[in-house]
Amino acid sequence: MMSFDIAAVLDYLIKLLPAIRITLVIVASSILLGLIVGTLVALPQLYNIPVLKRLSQLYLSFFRGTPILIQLFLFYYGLPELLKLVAVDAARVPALYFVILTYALHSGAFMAEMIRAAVAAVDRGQVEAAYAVGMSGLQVFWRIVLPQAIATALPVFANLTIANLKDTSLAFTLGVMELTGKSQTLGVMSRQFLETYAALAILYFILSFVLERLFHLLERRMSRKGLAGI
Amino acid sequence: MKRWKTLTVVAALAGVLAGCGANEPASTPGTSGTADAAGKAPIKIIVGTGTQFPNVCFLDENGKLTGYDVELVREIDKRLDDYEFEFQTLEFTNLLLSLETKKIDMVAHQMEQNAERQEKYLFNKVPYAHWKNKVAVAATNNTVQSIDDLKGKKVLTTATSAQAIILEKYNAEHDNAIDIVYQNGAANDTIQQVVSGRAEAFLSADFTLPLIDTNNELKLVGPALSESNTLFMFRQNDPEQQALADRIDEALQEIKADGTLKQLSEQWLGADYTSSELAS
Repeated sequence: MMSFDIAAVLDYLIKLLPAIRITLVIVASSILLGLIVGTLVALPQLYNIPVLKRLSQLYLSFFRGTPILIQLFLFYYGLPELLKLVAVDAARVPALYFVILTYALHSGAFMAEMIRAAVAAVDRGQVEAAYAVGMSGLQVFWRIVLPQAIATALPVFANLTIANLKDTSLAFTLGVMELTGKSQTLGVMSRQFLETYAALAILYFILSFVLERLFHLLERRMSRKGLAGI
Repeated sequence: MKRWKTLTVVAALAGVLAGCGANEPASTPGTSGTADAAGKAPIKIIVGTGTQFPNVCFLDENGKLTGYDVELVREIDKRLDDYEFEFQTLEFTNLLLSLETKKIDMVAHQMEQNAERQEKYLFNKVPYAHWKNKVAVAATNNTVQSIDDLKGKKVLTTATSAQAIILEKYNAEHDNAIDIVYQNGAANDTIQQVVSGRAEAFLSADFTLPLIDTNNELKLVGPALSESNTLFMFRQNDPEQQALADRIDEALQEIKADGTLKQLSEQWLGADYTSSELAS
């Protein structure tokens, strides 16, 4: 029976630190892109645009209804095949870009729903009052709807970001050396797999905890200063 | 509001910039090829390999990709001026698919030559190791003496490997008698599972067992289930790939002739497994 080597856990923790950079790059890029994608997808639903609304629903269905691992493989191997049809050779594009794209589209789907729910949660009476006071459509959006929507959306956004952080652990299947990928290579020679997983768990926990605290801080500042707090 | 905008722009820029540089660790460049006598720039070949095979392709304590297959490709790179080899590490199960979709140009992962693979892929002609697959069980296991004793038991294997094909063929002929469990990557610690009894056995080549079983907890039993050469793999029906395979064969002949292959084998595999005299 193999005994648990605590010193090895510490050793692996230190060896895994450089890989945090790639994990955070994936999280930051995909959340940012996902926010943009999510907003674009939510708009047809909010404004009831006929054809685009249908497309949005299809998009949401697919990205929320299939496992991320399948999405990663579909995009990494399938997208270049599709691009071949329009004479674009994507065979040599590094896996990292495909990974960020897939996570962005995946998070985007959840963000679209978050945006839709947050905007719908703003009391209709507020909007009507704003119009009554004489604000233009844009002013109503920026000064009345958006601050309240963000306040509702922020906890959900924090959730999605932290979930995204943990989902990045699947990127190693495409050869990206983020935290989980790096950990797989560490245990090969020493066969201390339990210790590498323990180190991984500790690192992911620390990262999630830091993110959680940061978002908590942001929420507090928003509740006091509104949009100026961002 | 201004702070929000600047923050977004900065974060997006940082993400893109960092992303551009971030892929470096995944691919280690081979020795840089200088232009050959004709003045043409060397053709870049992306070599797909894994990181989970001790002494064959793995990352050492400094994070450098090394091992028998990796060093052999580097040696070939030194001898071929018209090609430049660059490594890309992948999961073993993705190697063949990546080869087909042209994400990599060559596979170097102790790939055995068998009939199924020959139908779809191209192999070069000069082998760089010889494999004999046998059943590996716990050293204390006395009930299993051959593959027939594995009927009704759990056997671990990695998807897309030659060992998986051997087991699947056996099951096709023997009414699915063996309970094949597919695993991915060494992270599942095959040895631990066999020793603890979660699985009965797995198939292993005679010389790779000592590489992964450093504490001698397993033993090989029974006659050899298959004997084959390990070669590099390429795409079929592609004249450029055929040309590459031929050039690699030339380099391999040289490497064999001057004793470098034997030296590499002894350094990484513990003994010379490159001649046709197979260890029993």
